[in-house]
Amino acid sequence: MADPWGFPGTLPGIACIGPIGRTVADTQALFAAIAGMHPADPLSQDLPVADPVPVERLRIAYSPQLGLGLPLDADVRTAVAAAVSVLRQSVLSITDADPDWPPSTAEARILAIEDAGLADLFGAKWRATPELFDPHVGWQVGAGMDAGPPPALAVVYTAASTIGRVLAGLVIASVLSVTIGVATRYFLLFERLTLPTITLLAPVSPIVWLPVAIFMFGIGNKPAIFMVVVALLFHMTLSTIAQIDGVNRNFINVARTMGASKRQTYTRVIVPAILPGMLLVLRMNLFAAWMAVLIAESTGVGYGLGQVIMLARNTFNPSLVFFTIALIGVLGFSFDFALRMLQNRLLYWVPKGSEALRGL
Amino acid sequence: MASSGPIPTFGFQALGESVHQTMTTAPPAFSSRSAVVCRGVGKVWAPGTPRVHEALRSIDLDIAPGEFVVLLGPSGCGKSTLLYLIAGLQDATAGELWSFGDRVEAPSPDRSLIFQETSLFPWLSVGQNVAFGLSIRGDTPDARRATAKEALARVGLAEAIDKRPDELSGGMRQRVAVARALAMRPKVLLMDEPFAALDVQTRAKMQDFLLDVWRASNASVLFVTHHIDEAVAVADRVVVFTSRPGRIKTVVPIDMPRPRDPFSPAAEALRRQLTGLLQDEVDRAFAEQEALPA
Repeated sequence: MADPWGFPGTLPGIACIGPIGRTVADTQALFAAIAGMHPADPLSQDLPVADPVPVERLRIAYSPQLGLGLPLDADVRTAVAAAVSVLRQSVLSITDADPDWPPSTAEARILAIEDAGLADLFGAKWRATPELFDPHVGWQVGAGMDAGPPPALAVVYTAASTIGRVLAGLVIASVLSVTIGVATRYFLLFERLTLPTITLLAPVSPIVWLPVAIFMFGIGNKPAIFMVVVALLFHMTLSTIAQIDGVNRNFINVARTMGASKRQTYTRVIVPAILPGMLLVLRMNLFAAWMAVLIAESTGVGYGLGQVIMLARNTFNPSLVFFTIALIGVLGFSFDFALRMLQNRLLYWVPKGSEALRGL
Repeated sequence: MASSGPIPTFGFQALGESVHQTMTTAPPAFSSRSAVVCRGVGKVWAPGTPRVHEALRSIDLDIAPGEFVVLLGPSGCGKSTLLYLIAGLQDATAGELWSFGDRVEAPSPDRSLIFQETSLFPWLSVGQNVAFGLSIRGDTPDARRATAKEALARVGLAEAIDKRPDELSGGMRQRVAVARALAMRPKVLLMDEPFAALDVQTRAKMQDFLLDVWRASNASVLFVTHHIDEAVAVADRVVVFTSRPGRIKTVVPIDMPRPRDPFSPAAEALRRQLTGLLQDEVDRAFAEQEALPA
């Protein structure tokens, strides 16, 4: 009953560094306390326990292999092997097992970042006084400090992974919402079928989609991108429809008098006419996209700014929290700035906002 | 004459249907000669709702090919509505509309509508705006550009072909809108107060320019305005509308040679006559508005 990785965040609640008890009697007492019901403890429950299985019928496996490239001290290995051979001489039947640790194991993905967190917390102290540390923890601190790219590059990687998710989500949400919005106005049947659902889902906070994202896509990039899409899609679709309804009637009338078909009117007039408004909607929703991606990442994507925030929280590291907040702010500002530049270049006919107000 | 209470819309629909039947079975001879024919045309907005309101009633109007007709009336009298009906952008709720022997059922490049407000597409260059209808029609890019250049030359803006609409003044933009209509070689030019947003001097220049274009194009022009001076300056005939619902009050032919001197005694008399006709309608509209329950 020990978490060999030594870092309590990995298996919250039941992980501990080192053995739980020194004798069987101690451990038995501990288990009794953990499993037993106590009326003063609101968390304990009086659950019926099934009849215990006779020990000789238990299936017990033993593996000295911890997986994930984690080291095992030679003395620990010898002690455990000796204990196992003693048990083998009893009524217990123990088979050797060598479990496969797939790289997609969720714990494995956050291991590297937790090593980094440990290194950040204890690195200086470990260097000064390595004798104070358990060798395992020391190894992890050392691994966290030496593994991976240099700090500046690590920041770039982390930020780039988050930016990538935001961009992917923005592109997917924009394409989907313009398509759905135009289709809604183009096909009355489509509008009848989808618009009520879209309006119904629009007020739902993106946070509640988080479990859905994890059900559907597990852990990784996909749920984070899904979260960005879902945070933007409904609002942007409704905005698209509002933009279409707001297109200058004269533009549509001109197209009709020139003999444009319905399809031509949409592709040649309505879509270009709603572009400036859509870019503004995109800028407004950019911030929602950033919020959604951070929520999604904080659940354990493996890397990204949201993950760093959670790590900083778990390791009580305020400087890392504020650094990440500042980084997110700067990135969000830069994104908005880039979109404004894009708007000025692509949509040259849109008047430049605040000029008229400057004279007031 | 003023109608009171809600309009019985079923009556208009019934009339429209019966006229429709007689017209489709036996097209009248006039329809193939006139640029525009309106017979008993009416338009009711929002029929069957509490906001029902009758814009036009029993309009009979013939416009000859190459004729310059001005629709003059107080604001909100339905003259713009008539233009939209002739353009085919709206359906009449009563009566029949014909143009060169064909029933008006949908918009057509033969009947170009020019709007009061700028209606140039801001995302296209001036040349692309003028060529818009041509590209809808499927002309090749070279042919489009040649036609656009020619149309722009006719409005004196050949140099502006690669400019963007926001680089042009209001008057220039309206000339581009005229060029865009001309590029389609329309038989009827429908103009909905096209110069209303321009200053007085620019408007006078635009009227002269429009008359030049009109003479060169052989198109009929149906020109909506509430400016008496403008009507006197350009029209062959002035159709005076009543206030709501819009009906034709009277038609005043103008037999003065062009270019017209706006200060000649004949123009002065005409202005006085039209002002009197219009003033009655404005007075009546105000009296109706004051009688409305607050």
